[in-house]
Amino acid sequence: MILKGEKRKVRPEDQEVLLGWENQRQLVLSLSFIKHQHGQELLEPSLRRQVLIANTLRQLSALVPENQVPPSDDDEEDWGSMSAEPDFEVTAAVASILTALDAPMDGGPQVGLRAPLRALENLLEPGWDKAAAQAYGELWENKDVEVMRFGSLGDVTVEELFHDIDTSLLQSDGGGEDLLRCLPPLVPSPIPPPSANHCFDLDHLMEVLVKS
Amino acid sequence: MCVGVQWCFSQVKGAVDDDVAEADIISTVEFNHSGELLATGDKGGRIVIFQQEPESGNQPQCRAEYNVYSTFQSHEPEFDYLKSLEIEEKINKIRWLPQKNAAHFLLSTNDKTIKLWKISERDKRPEGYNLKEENGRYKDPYSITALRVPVFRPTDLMVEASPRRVFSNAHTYHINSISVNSDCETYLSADDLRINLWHLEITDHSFNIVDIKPANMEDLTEVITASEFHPNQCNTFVYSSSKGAVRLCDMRAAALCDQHTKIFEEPEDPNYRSFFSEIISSISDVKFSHTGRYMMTRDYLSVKIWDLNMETRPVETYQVHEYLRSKLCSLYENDCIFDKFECCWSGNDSVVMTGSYNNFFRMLDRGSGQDVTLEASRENIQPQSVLRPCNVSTGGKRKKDEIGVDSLDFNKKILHTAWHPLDNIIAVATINNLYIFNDQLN
Repeated sequence: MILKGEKRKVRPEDQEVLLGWENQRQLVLSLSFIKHQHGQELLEPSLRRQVLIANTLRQLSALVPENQVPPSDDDEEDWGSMSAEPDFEVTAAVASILTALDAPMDGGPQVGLRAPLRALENLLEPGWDKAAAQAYGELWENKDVEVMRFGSLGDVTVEELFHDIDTSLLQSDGGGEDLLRCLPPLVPSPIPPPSANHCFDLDHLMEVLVKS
Repeated sequence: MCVGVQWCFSQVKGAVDDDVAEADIISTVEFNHSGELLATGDKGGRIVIFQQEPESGNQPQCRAEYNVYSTFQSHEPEFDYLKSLEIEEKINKIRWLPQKNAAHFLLSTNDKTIKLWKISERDKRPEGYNLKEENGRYKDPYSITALRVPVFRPTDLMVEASPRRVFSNAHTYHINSISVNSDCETYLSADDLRINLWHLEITDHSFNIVDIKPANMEDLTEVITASEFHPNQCNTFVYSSSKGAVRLCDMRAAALCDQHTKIFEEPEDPNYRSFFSEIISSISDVKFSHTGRYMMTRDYLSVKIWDLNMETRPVETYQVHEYLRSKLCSLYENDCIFDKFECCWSGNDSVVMTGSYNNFFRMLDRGSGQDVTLEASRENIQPQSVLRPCNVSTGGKRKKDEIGVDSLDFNKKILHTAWHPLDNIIAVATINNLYIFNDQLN
């Protein structure tokens, strides 16, 4: 029993345990940082993997022992709940992990309040005619045996883009500009909610295609 | 049905050589509802469907003979130019629709797009068109002097796979699950943060029913790992998370199911607490029993059976490879700790199966409490040869026919398994081979 005012001393066997624990903590910490960096470079980034690594980093940063004193029988301090000042470097790293995950995936302004039963219409470009979208989707109904193949942008010519257009669109008022807006997407990609910048980028892309 | 059943080798599909092409890696395996068809998907975006051979009266043990029925390219690699992201063609999941007519339908999905495929047979072809030649070229209309009625004539059996629906542009994150509802009209698709509800006839609309994405991504601590509809209750589905919880949702309670109806979560055992506790608690698969009363979850080290009427703890827990608990740091280092193992029920829900490393797979008998470890290996592929149980030794002394923990090959992992819905026939996928086993008939 430790008397009042008596300085607690680290027992040799406890110090060994503490060192082992701290070594493993440092090892796992460094591994986690390396994994975070490699995760960013992976061709197939896994959100689950990155979140688990980030949570591990959080946990490790919260387990910094303050006085480097192992628990004794009289001390009810729990190893698992030892915490001091959170490691700010780790916290910043965790924040950067998770913020970086959001940028390439779900970019653009957040969707507003979700109304119940609001159908998420498959994300369409501004000016995309819904009838054209339906006509494009109905192309699948007429496909026989051959599987539709999606080629890369380099394989697609302007003439091939026009092949997918429902010819009834040619009779709509507005002429060529409407036709350009009704072009199917170049690649089947998830499109963020419309925003001013997004519209500008798509318009610019269309301009380049028309000129080419 | 009990683990005392002897399992025999039936067939192995896939390349023989050890040089494995990335595209040939099997990524999903699924029997259809009758067990007649067995579908596999691979990293190259292809689907291969095997068909069970009609059982021969003289050789009932050959009931587990499956031959190629159809092969087709389901998904192609894509590139999202706006986000500079490559979309892999790997087939993440296949789910069969209940059969309603002669044709078969299945849903297949990669990370972003779900497709509905129709697999149909054609053994007749029309002949005698008035306007077209037999080779398909159009005739000169002025050369036609008489009309005739085209007729159907028998031809060689052809199996055609045609895409009937494409459900795209509804998932920002990677799709990990699809599940067909018992109403046979709707299905759900789940990615890391959201679950959408689709109607099979409608491709340009889907309803978001779960969204766990926080307003600030820095607050993200949990992702969705798997999701499934209840087999009988069309209003009920579950989804599992990376924090080891399973949430059951009732679509009748609210259109947006962010608030769960039940949450199944077991408190952590303080004796086993480690730096990796959360990672190994992450649920990689969740499956309802055929009856719908129970639910099975697979985390990194164990399989748990839950009674849907009790949320506080599982009714049964089986250790899959407890000998790996002391190796978690190494498994974290080599990324194996992030492997997502699947699990499956036997047809009568009495036995569950899941994969492990070294091409081992585990059969866990719920009735007797017994378990057995078997190996999918090319060293034992004599037709109907009986599989011998395998043992892993953890101590210093190793018995004969035991393998040490440090000798396990962690590159040989069985992530995908499937059990015939009506018979003791199982399909086990190694990296690029599909093994089919059946029980030994007395």
